[in-house]
Amino acid sequence: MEIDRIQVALRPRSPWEGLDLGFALARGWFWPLWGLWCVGALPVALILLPLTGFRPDIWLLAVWWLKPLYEAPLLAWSSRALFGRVPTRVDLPGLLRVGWGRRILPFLLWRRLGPRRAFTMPVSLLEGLGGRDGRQRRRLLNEGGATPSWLTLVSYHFEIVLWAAMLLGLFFLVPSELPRIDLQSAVLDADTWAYWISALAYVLVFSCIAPFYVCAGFMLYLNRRTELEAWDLELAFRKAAEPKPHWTASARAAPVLLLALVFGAGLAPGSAQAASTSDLDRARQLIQEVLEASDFGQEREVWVWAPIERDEQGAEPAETLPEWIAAIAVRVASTLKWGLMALALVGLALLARRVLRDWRGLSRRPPDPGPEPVGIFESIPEGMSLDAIPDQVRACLAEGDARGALGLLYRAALLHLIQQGLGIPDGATELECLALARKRCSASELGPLPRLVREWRGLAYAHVVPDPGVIESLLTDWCRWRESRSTEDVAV
Amino acid sequence: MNRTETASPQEVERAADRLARLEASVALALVGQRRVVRESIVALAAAGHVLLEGVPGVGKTLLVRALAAALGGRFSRIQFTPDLMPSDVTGHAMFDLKSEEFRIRRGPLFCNLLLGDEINRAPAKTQSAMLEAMQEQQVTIEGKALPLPSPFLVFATQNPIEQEGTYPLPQAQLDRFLLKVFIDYPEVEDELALVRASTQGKVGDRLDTSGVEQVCDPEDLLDLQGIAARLRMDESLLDYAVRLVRAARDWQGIETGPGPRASVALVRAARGHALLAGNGFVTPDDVKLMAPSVLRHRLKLTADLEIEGYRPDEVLADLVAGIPAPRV
Repeated sequence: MEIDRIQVALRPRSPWEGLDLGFALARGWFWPLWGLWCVGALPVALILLPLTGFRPDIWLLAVWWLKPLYEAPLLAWSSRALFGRVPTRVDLPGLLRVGWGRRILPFLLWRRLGPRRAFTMPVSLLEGLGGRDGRQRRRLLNEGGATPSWLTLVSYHFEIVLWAAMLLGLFFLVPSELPRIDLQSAVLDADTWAYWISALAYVLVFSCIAPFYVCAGFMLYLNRRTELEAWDLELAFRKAAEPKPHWTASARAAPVLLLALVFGAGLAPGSAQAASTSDLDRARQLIQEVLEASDFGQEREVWVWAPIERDEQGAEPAETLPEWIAAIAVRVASTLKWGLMALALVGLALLARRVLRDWRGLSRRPPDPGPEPVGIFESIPEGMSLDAIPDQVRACLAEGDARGALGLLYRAALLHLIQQGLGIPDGATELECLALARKRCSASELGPLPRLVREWRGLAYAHVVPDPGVIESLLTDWCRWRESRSTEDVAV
Repeated sequence: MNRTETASPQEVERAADRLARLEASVALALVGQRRVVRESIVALAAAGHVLLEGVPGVGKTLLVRALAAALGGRFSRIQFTPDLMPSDVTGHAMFDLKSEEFRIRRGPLFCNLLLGDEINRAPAKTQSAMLEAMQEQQVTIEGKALPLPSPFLVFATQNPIEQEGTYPLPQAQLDRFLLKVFIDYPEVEDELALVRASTQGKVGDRLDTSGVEQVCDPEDLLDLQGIAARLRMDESLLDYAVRLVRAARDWQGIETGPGPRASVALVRAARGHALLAGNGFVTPDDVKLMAPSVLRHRLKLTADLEIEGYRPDEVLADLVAGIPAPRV
């Protein structure tokens, strides 16, 4: 990292100032950063479309979850641009390599919902630290304090507000003659076009927030490092070490420079050692002179407001909880914490189960078939082919079993239709079977089926036994029909 | 007449003709709700009570008024409200100062056709007062069981929206209704015809049943119900009806399934439907067609399916399609 090429003025800043600086940088670099975000996000979003079965709710969730994947190249871009090397299109593969290395994985898994993501990403991606080293480093940087969490929280709120504003804008500003967006469908009903618009609006919103989020997090990170590693002083050293053609030890500049040398020597020994021994001797002498000057060693009276203390005798000792209550409270809080985490895990598992089940189309579980269903195939005696049906029907007729004969003929007709490619559900009644056949075949192709169905219904449910001659006639027609249908198929 | 004897073709023809005229007469008042009218007539033929559900203004009350006009007999209407007491429905004993003895004052339940409007607005105590009447066709007042007139049919209505301050009917009460019939908005042509007929030369918005002709009287209806009960029903169809109900009971997406009373109701409704169709015998189509109306209010979906927005009718459609129809 070449600190002396940094494009911003380094000085100790509060975290909030750091955020402000990040936002200012994001404003300046918005278009290249947004373009880079689109380059990373668009292919992923398109690939996710078929993978999520074109369901906008799951698609949006997946695109949202993979946000770190599109933010990482932005971080790599910012880290280079900040130090004076603005990446060009040629550098794009390099940026993607930095962003999409193995260090990004934790941010797509267990650190995805971490509130300090903007701050911890530079540690992992730019410093390349992971595991124990990464943990130590993050601890050293104090995880950025609370400001990164606030950044995440505020960014989410901005996303929601902007998204709602876009939807309301569409709702109120689209002329009433045009199809209007239904707000309820846009938020709740994933099967509507309004939901797609809502999902795309949300993606657009978080693409716009991303540059600000990344730059602000990155500046928080740099700010913290500046604070800890005294980059500003190091920079001042380097500038001081540069040969100055107009260097004259003027009375005003010298004490400042020397002060910097003194503190720099204490905080950044590595850099300070660059100074030569003769310079150090001169510096000590100058320091001595400065300390003896009138600016030091003077007393000054300062008036400030201070609270009036209570009379110590009347003061009551501050009430503190007994230790055992505090211990119980800590135990209860700890139990609650773990309980809530367990609940959250169970909730996540249930959610995943439901999503998976929906994805596999298992939400409509097949009904319990009930006791011993008799399907069409099962209703034909085992091992009997359609060729054997006429003999079997005649045998039934010879035994006087008209119901058996007509039933067998009816089921054989259905079986024949099924073999011809007609889909007949198990739950279809006689009239429904006939209607299905009528949809597929012309009246002449139906053969004896309508008459067969009528006679069978009369026999089966009204117990009206037809004359054996009628059944014989139906059998003859059935054989002819079957042969003609088979011939047609062969011809086809 | 022997109760087990099957209805003769002449009886079936006469009854079907009467029911068809009844249907046509009611349809004159309730335009564009053919399915609803048909299912209501089926319930009449099957001697069953009906729960009508629909948003306000689709003709629930008009349907019952038209039925009452076409049937003749005594008609009562109870507007269920949160402060309605059981005795307001059943009747009570009062002291007659003139005769110096207690006299039973009979409530509106003593009728042939009862319209229970917005039944879910009354508390459970009042709703339960109807249980005995609906199941046993009698009312007990002061320990005395009083039989209700025959036929006795209840058509109750409820509104699926504005559920605040309502008391959902308990499962035991729901089970007493033979059918639950949904009334939806009419098609555009029907609504146009309805508006035209309701506004041309009419003053105010009073429910108009003047065009409904009385087709039969309570005695005729009892006769029709007797014929429906004697329609031939093959054993395989009884088996089919029971299999449907049992499948609804065991299906994984259903938390509480229909009880055996549902099997009985399905068979009765199928008989009513067959008679209305003019058949002297019941077919699997009759059973299958009546299954949603008979079963939809007798089952409770699991919370899982309810959250996912499934309705009992969708579950029943899957279920009915998957149960093998009789083939042998």
